[in-house]
Amino acid sequence: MTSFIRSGFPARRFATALGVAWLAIIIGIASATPARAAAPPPAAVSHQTAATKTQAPPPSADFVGEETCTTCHEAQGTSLRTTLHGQAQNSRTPAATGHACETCHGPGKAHVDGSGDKSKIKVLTAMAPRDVSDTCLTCHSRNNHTQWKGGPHDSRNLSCITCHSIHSPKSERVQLKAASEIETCASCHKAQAMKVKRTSHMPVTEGKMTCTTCHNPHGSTNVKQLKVGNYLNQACVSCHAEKRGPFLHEHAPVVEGCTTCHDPHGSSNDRMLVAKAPMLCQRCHVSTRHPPTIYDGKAVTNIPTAGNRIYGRSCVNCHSQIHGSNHPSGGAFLR
Amino acid sequence: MRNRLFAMVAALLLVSGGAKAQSTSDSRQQDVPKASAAAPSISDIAFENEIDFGVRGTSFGSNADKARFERYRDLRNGGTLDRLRFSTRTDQYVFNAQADHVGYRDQRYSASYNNYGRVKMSFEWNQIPLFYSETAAWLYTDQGNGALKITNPAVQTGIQSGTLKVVNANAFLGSPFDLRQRRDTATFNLTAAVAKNADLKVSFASAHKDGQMPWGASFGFSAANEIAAPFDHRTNDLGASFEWANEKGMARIGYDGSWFSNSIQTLTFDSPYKATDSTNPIAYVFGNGTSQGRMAMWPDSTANTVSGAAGYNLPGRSRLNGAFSFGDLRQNAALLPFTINTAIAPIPLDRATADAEARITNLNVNFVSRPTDIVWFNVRARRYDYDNRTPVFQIPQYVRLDQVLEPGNAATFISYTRNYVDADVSLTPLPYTAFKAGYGMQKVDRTERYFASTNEQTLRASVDSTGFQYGSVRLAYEHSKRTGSGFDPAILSDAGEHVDMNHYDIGDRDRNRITASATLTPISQFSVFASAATGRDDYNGIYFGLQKWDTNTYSVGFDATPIETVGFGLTYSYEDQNTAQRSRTANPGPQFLDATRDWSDNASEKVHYIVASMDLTKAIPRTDIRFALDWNKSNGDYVYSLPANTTLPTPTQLPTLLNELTRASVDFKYFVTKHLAAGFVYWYEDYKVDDFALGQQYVYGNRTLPEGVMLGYFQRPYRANTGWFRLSYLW
Repeated sequence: MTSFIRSGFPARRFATALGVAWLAIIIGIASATPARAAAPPPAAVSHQTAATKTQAPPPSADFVGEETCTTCHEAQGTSLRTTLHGQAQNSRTPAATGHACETCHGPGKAHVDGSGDKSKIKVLTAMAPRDVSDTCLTCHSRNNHTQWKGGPHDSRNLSCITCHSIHSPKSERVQLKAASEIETCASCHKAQAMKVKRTSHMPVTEGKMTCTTCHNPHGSTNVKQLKVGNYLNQACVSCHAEKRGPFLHEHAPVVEGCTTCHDPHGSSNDRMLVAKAPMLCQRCHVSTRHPPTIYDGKAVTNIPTAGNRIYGRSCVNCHSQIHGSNHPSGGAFLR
Repeated sequence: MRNRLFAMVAALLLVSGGAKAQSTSDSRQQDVPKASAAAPSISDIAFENEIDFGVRGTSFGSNADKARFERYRDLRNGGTLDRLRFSTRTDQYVFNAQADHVGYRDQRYSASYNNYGRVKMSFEWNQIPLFYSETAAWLYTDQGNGALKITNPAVQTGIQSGTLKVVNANAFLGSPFDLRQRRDTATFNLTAAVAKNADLKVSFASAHKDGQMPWGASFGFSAANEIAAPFDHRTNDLGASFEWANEKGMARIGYDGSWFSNSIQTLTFDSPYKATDSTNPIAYVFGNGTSQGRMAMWPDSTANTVSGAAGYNLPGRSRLNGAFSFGDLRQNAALLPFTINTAIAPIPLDRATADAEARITNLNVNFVSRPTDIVWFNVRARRYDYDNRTPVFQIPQYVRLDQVLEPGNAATFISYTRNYVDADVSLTPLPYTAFKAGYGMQKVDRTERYFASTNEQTLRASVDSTGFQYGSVRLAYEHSKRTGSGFDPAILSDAGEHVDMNHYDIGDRDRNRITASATLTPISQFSVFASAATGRDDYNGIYFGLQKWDTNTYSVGFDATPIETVGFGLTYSYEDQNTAQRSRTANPGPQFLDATRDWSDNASEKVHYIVASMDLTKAIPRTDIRFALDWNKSNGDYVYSLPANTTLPTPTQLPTLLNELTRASVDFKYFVTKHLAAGFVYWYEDYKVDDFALGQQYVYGNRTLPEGVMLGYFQRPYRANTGWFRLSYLW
């Protein structure tokens, strides 16, 4: 282990500079910038029990109640009741708060008194993305959502309703706006969604895996929003446990990261390799004897000169324990 | 077949009684044509419960690769109970039960129960097959427990005595067999709301994987010997956590344990080339060495992790999150002797068991703040420490390929510490538009690598216009520079490598990436989108190894729903990547420093994709029709080049690689009554492949070669036509 501080990284200065910058932003910019017209705040979640759900909400002249809302917004009220948000027995749902629709949309009296004036109520589809997320995170602040703030999607100005729909979801679960999870992710991540269609792929198109099998789109403590672990390899070996080791003989790029050699979204090469062997192996192994030999067309079309280092699994024809060996003679991953 | 029928009948019996509800919870999306492909909004679903059964059959073109057609699916001909959905709910709870592909090797069953606000439970049984080949053949008989014996001893004695050439051993290959494996996973999850703001979560998963896989079991540098390695292992994972959260913050503690156990830890296999053990300095030439090989397969291992996380909302719309975890990986399998070859005197082991252990410590801290409506910033720090504590294993001598005694090197172990600090500032002065700039620094310290440390600094900027009615526009640029320090040439030279080479996983690198995407929705019935991404990795200043890696992807397409009952869309994508690498064909001595023996290899791949679909949902009375097309084609080239002053012979270029897959389907469904639908699915698949390494048309297709015996797991084309009559009952 090498100490973070001792190794020369200016962590203290960096943290100090960031702290000063933050103070400057709060004190300086905040006071100088006119605030955008603020939407009414979300109603506080009172966490009433199911037994109290029919009781009147806390007295407030600003709230009108679900019945008034659904007078005009009947379809939204109906759809909400079919989802988990509408299950009043769960004391954490809007339906249990007593404020129902106004839990998310804010007090509705001004909106009603204004004959439906949209500027007097929170319309999430018209709000700034981070305002939308703040509304949802009022309740969805646990489990898989704890890392949303500051995560990659938050930082790129996406909000919860970029992917989810509260009133008209099309997916069979988790209330997505698109019919499927892959379709949702593919709306931005086209390259990855296309790669899963290649010859060598995970069983995604076969319906055995989805994007969230590996990723948590709400943010995570791992890289690339991987759901499990805190480093790339931990996510991979959560299914491929046989390769986690530690082995008696380790292959350095395996320890460094599975994606050194594999593209988990798919490729045209056997085993989802990022390039064909032996060329892939020759990217690092440029030494004497057989690794740096040119394995050319003669080797695959001419039996007398055929080379077992290009046909079949190429280098892995012999170095089959390439992920690590527990054999005392396995230093070259041959046993 | 009997098992399939039994499972289908059992599933049918489980369906008793009806229930009224709204939503199903099938978490999977499939390319297998489904009875109802067009997903209505949840409020439009009239029935939640469904049972779908029918008869399916597939015809193949000549010499089709049936295993590759199936791959992760079991698509045998016969009766199907393809989909079962059952749900019942009250104001207090919802219960769901599902079954897919009942009785087939890719079957899945699940059940979930959610007592709102109190307890959630789910269970799933999921089988994932992997079909490699139905034409594999070999010389062996699997005697169980990882012991593979050559069926006919005449092979070994004949080759050893010189009366049989390896290339003629094909007469001794056994009958073709299905080369396949399967992963069966059972998962159970429980979340209980034990208090107003507190949840207790418990999860357990058990994954069993068995079958055979293509495996190299070589006896010499020029002697490939491919076998179907049997394996049978299980991983049990247990997780438990307690989480408390309210509107101010959250805290969580957790434990995760994982136990991997392998029933076949040793693979023993006869040599086709020798019937008796011997050794000599040229024993790598088959016919000169061992009669058996022995390999250590994956050892049992355990992983235990305790973790904690907390988050707290601060003034100024700020939040501080922290997470830590501490875990260890242990593996202490008994070590095999250095060789199974009885002609070589036993070599004492440094220790009897692996005694391998790695400790993993992780700490994350994240501070995010939005002090004003237009200013957002985030600072993240992460430290990940992988500390491999396995004692050095002394290897004064070892036996290569069970054939020849060689001088050895001690086994040492890689540890690393990753420190990462990252900061982003995002400004939203315009409605819906965020301008972001960020900086990240990752410093990694490693042992046993030629750079003791690498430092990567990243600058990034992006503009994102999102959340508005007419679509989104996004643009991002990222530049990073990775430099190594503490160069230790001995790490390379001790392994016989050139010291001026690059290991691209840690080597010096400049990376530039630009991504752009736009989605425009001028009217709600129509949207058009385009995206582009281009990137380059430059491994500067390094003579050998990977020099550069370029990637480009482009996509355009549209989706249209002109009327409620008609929807269609089209996407075209293009992707290419190009790499360059340099090497030197050389043996020890003068050749090692002879630049006239250099060569380069430029690899390129171009991939085209088309995805199209059309949904007609009751556009014709009582009828749903879905057309779908999925096509992709990849061409790859590896082109060798030599410098002008080369002393190497001119190489023969490799054939161009081809992978082309076409999938088209029509899913027709006619509602005889409100509850009963009859349908027909037609599915066409055509796969073309030309792979110089794995193609049957090249030398590999001969299975038995002058210097090797291969299994026969080829990359072969196929053409398949699948028809499927289905009846769906909905209630």
